[in-house]
Amino acid sequence: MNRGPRPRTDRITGGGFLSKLLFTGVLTAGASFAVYLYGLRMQTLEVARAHAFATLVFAELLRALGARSETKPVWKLRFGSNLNLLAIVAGSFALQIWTHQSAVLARFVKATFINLNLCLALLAISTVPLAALEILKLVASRRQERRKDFTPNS
Amino acid sequence: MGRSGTEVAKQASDMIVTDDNFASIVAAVEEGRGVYDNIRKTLQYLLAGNCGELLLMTACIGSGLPMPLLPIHLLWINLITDGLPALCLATDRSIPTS
Repeated sequence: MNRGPRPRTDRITGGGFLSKLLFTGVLTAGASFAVYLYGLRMQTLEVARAHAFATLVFAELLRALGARSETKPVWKLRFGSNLNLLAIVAGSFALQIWTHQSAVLARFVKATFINLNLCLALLAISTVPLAALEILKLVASRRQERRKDFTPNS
Repeated sequence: MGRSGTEVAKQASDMIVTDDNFASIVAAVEEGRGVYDNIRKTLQYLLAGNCGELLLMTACIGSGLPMPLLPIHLLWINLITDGLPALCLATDRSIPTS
């Protein structure tokens, strides 16, 4: 409650909302694009598509964990306070991995088989957008702390 | 004051404390900030996800590559992968900023 009231002229899309949105989009698309390009060079179009699809899904799910706060990094958030989100993210991860293992589901979403080791590698690449956004949060909060330190007491 | 206040005072006021407890104003402000933050972060999550899909498709089509995602993939991402976590973000408890 020690936060001042929001100015009435403040818009919901203010305060770097759009630039952060675009930055997040670029990071997510960049990770998927890199995986897709690698898949196209090394294997077939279907495999590259499946890799890009899995990477995009993993990146989105990981980002959901960090999206809970605009200022606090993900490791400082109490995960127990939103168990629904945790359950849904875990369930969606399992469903996505199962999609690439089960022939029926793979046929339904037109994906190909991805072995578990490769799934882990794609998961590691998918953490890049989340990691970059968390670093950005840390930098922003440190800057804010410094600003507080330098402002004279009123 | 909703209980002890007169009808004239209630009609002239901007806000009525229905339970005659000033602490409720603090709770209402916290609730309002929580709702606002939840709307903002849900919007950010959904729009950033869509922006990523859009940029990926545009980059591939622009560089002459075949489509990286099929319509079923986009549907899957928007409905299952993005929709359910967004619902959880929208109903998140408020997180103190400091």
